[in-house]
Amino acid sequence: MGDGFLTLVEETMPRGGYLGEFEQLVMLAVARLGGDAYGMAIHDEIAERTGADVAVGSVYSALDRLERQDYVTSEVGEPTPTRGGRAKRYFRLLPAGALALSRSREALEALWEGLELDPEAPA
Amino acid sequence: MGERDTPPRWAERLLWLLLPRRRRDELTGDLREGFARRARRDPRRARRWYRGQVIRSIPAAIALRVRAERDTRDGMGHGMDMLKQDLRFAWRSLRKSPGFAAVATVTLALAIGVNTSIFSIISAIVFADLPMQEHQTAVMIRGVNPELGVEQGSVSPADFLDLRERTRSFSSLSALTEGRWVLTGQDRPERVTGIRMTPGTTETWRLPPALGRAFTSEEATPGSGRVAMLTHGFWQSRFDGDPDVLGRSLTLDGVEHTVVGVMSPTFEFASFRQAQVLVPLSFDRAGSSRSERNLFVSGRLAPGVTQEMATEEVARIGRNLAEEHPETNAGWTLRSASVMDSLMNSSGRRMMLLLQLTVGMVILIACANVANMLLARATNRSREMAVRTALGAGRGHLVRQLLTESVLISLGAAILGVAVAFGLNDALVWISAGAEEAFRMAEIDGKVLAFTLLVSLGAPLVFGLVPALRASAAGPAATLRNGRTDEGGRSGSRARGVLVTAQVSLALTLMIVAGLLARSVVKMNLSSLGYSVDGLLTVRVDLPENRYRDEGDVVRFFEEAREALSSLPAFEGVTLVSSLPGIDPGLQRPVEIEGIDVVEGRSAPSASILAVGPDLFRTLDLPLVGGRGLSENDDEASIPVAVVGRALAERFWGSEDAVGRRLRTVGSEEWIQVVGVVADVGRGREMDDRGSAPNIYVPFRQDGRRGMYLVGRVEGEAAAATGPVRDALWSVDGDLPVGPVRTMARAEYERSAPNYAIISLFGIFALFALGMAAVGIYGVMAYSVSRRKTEIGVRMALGAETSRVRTMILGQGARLLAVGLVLGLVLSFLVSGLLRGLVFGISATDPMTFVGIPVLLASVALVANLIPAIRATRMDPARTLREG
Repeated sequence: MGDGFLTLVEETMPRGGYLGEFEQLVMLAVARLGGDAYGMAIHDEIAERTGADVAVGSVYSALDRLERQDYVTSEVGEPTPTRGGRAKRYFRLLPAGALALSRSREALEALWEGLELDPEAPA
Repeated sequence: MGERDTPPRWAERLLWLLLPRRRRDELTGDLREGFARRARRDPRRARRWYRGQVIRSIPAAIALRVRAERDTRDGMGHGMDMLKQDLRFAWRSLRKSPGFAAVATVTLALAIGVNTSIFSIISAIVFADLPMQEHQTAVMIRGVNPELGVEQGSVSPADFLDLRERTRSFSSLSALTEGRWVLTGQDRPERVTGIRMTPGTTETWRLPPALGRAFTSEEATPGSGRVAMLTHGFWQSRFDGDPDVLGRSLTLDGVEHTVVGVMSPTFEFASFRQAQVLVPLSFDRAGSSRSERNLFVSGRLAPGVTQEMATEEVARIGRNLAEEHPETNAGWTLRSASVMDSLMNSSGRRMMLLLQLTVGMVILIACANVANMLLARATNRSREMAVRTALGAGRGHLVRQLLTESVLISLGAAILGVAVAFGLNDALVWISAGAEEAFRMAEIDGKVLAFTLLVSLGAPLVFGLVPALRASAAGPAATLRNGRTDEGGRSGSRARGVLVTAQVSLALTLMIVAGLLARSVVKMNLSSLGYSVDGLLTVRVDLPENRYRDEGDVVRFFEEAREALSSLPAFEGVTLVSSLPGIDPGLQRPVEIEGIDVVEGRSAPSASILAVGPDLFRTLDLPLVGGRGLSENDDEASIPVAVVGRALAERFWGSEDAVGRRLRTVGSEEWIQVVGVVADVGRGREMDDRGSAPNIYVPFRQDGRRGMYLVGRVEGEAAAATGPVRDALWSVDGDLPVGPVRTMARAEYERSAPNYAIISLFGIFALFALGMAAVGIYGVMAYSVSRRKTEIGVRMALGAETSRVRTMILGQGARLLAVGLVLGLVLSFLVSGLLRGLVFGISATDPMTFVGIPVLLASVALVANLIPAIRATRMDPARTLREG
């Protein structure tokens, strides 16, 4: 019973609410990479632009959640020798994902408007 | 270098294990790629990076795994729901037609029952816990004589010793033989049975004793201290498994034996189960016989020797022995075979194959019948299916539901079938009077239940799939418009026709097999035994060696015992015989006829030599055909005499008088004079002479034996005589173990009881098959008539004669029947090959059976066909036309 209830909450809530920060990073990276968004490329894109070496596992975990919400979709690509003969999985942003990203961005911008914060200054 | 190129193995493997299957490749592939790129610049940093990635990915990997598991569980949950729904639906739909459900279940239950029962017998043999450990390298060596039809014979001591000397194939070679003793010193004297075995036997069999030790080779030399082992069963039952039994003394035939060990319980296999005591077996070369074949020889292959190599070498030694000793060994050879091969002779194996084949047919017939019922049901349910299809049920869904119904029926049948099998196994043991080891070994264990489950899950695919596909195939529009499916109906009746044809052909085959076996037994039983067993009572007495040392003692005892029994009221004509004539073959010896040379390369003819009391022929009412009978005067002081059976006399002396001729057993010096010829005994003796040796009767005073039957005619109830008979014998010797008191009729029954059990089995199969075929034909024809109601109505209304309509319908059924019979006859001819050697007195393609059984089946089937034909013409045309 409880299991079913939690599943319900987890799956329905993000549609009405907003994306988490990490989810936004991953989705933005997917969007930037266009047709070439697979795990390592996403990791590198985030690293290049933000300097963060995120765990690849977390990237997949986020993508898995996002795929369940129909924000992204994926297909299996070709295996390559540098990957020990293992196939890539390419991710693509879906319209619902783009919409959710825009909503999150609007919400953030609305809240930031007219606000100046100096992290260095004492509280 | 190699190490630098690859990421840390443990880290990759850890991640691999944690991740759900579908994410493994892509995630570890990504990390490999990142690693490879970094490793080009700095391998050490790359490895550090990799480790960090893996460790930080662990929580995510677990999260992925948990989500993936939940997905599959949900998928399964859905499946469970569907199964539950299907089961509920199937249950409801079966409850709506209880008649169909019951008939189908019972039909299948009978078939599954006989299959389970036969499988339990076969499995008991195939998966038997063999007493030989590591039986792949163990062999049994048997004496074989094709001319006498001996396939699994024993080996003589002299041949065994020669074989052991000459062979290179075995690391050890052992022999054992049966032994009987009288055990005294316990509370009552009792007869114990057991085994004498060469000391190496336990090593050859790789059977360590359960307690104590096995025999040493010194203990087999004559003169050493006597030792004995107990079988595990005897140790448990008599000594309560007391470990202190070691060192105790057993008095066997008056000789003290020290118990040195207890045999492993694994030893108690098949006939060894009756053994109680084991003693060492020894032979000395000079005194060992070559003609008395009484040893059961087993060996252990030497390292590197295959079964085939051993078989070849043993056969060669056997041939050499036959050349060196033609007088005893001509025609005989030795055969080494694996333990599994030696368990059954070829007719036993053929019988098993035949049984397996026939129970397979039984279940096919049952499946055909249930399929037929399902097809009929499918047509009746076409409207229901059409409605459900129209409401959006997919075809796969309908098929699944219909198959669930079939599985439900089949599982119900399996439960009933196991009960049937239990009953049948008990019945087989009962009918065979416990004389067939295979029936007694049969047990319904886990393996057998697994087989039953497999059959009951497989059967629905055979009988349920086609009807289910057909039922769900109907186009809803046409069906709903017409109220019936003409299309599906026509091909449906064709399918049913094929099923009935198959049923008839299988039924015919089963019935012919049963008919052949039954006919040969009936023929055997109708032929006379040569004397009347009515009112004859027998009791077996085996005298212990220690108290009856010489022949004089033995003869004196039996004289006194005969007198004691004669003094009983209602007991007359008491006499003695060493084996029951025509029932139990007794001691068979090769004989030599004076004036007739043994033909080169052929073994001497063998005969049963019966030691008998003077009144035997009178008591048995066995007519003399020449010369005189044996009298009180033929004793140890007079010249040795014999009375021979007519068959033997005619074989050797033809039309000339046998009286006055002389014969002797091979190896003995003294000639025996024939003084009379007596009628032959033994059922079926006119049919073929295979295996039935002619009888030679000698006076027991001239050939004293320790084991004899006392036989007499008793008036009134035979069972009432049991007590007085024992008391009378005990009045002569109070310490005497007395065998069972049986009527001669019972003794004869017990001898052929296993055959009766097998005939009963085939009889059951045949009746079942006949019933199923009749029901099948009836069902198809009744259905066809009901579908052609309108057509028949029109014909009748237009003035067709009743008889013509009937002929038309009968003809339709007869065509199916004829095709089935022809196919069945072909199949029967093929199967009859297996029956060669299993039937006596008739050929395996006995014309009577091959004509009579099809006629019987055809008559029953035509009667079943007649009912719907008559019903068709009784219908009122006006009414059918109105309704149609």
